[in-house]
Amino acid sequence: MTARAVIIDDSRATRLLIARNLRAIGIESVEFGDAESALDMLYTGPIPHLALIDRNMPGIGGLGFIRSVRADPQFSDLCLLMVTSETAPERVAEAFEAGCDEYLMKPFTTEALLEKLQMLGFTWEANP
Amino acid sequence: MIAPIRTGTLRQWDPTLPPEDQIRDLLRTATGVVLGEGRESMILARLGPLMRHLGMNGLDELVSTLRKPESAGLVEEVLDLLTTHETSFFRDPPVFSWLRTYAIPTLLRGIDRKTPLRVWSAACSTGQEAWSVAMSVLEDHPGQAIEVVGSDISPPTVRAAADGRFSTLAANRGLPAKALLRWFERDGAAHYLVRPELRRTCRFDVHNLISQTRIDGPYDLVLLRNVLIYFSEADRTRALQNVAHVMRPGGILVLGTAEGLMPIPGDQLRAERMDNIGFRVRI
Repeated sequence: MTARAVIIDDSRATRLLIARNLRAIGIESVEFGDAESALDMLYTGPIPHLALIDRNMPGIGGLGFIRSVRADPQFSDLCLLMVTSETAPERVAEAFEAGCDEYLMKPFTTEALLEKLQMLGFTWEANP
Repeated sequence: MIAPIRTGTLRQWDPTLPPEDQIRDLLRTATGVVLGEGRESMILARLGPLMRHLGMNGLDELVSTLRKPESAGLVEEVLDLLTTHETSFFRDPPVFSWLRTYAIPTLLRGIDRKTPLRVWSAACSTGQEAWSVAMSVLEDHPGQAIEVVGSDISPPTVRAAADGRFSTLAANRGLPAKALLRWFERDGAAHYLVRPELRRTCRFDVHNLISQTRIDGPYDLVLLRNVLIYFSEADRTRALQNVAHVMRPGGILVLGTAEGLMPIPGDQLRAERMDNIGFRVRI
């Protein structure tokens, strides 16, 4: 079964970069520029396996998205990876308190992203 | 600090050889690392920025400077650039999972918590492997004493490892963010620094695997990963002899994933293979 991801980031360049890396290891993705639209998709479309979420976005932002997802048991299998330029330990701790599963600091290399996905239990046949 | 590089040996070189072969000879003489044919582009890629920085026009100019007796510092820098390999925390997760669930508990079975588990991370580069083993033991076996020694042939790399200071780019690599929070503190906007409770478990020194025998054994666990593949067969034998010399009977040696399949002659290491990941030294 192909893994599916949702990428939520208000930077189009970041969304494209992440999507390209995911595609290289066989993960299909859909992209959103804000957390609210991504939440709407969760309630209407098939539930993805993985969400990669920026923190600082207009509206409820990445933390709001994570809290909303974690408040609804139907999304309990959804892996949440925060991908953000916030590098302070307090910000990392806040993301875990909200309910994210792992945290990747921007800027990041492809290898770093893939290593985080491995930590979350995603596997693929060959490294791209 | 041990000086593993003798610039005097450079004078024996044949200056009529192409400069890339002279660089190759320098690397082999000083470190044992054999750089295969066709790696000229790798030499240029790694040394190019240094040559530009020094205003040099090419490898010829670099090599003639390296031959001068006063160039020991530059030789060190060149060897550092050629031998520093990519590394990350908990590199090769299946190996770390094996270490945590099987190897380390096996080694700890025979000792009490106050007796330190002694680990050698050989060719440790910038230290991520050493810090990763220490984190694993501290997390899985609270209160267990542990001593980790990381060694590398390159003095600048050893200094970096001992600093325990990682850019956010490096801290992203393989390190679960919860471990980052637990074992590191922020140092400026773009770095993380090892916390004292982790720092006190590791020390680092300069060591040449081929020409030097350690005198600070015995070790319970030795990690010698992705190093032997760069050595000639003779140097591989010598390195393994040096490692075997400091391993405790019953201790465990872990080689790189590809290296575990290489034949390990019994006169270097009397050991049993374990799951194609490690070798257990016979008691």
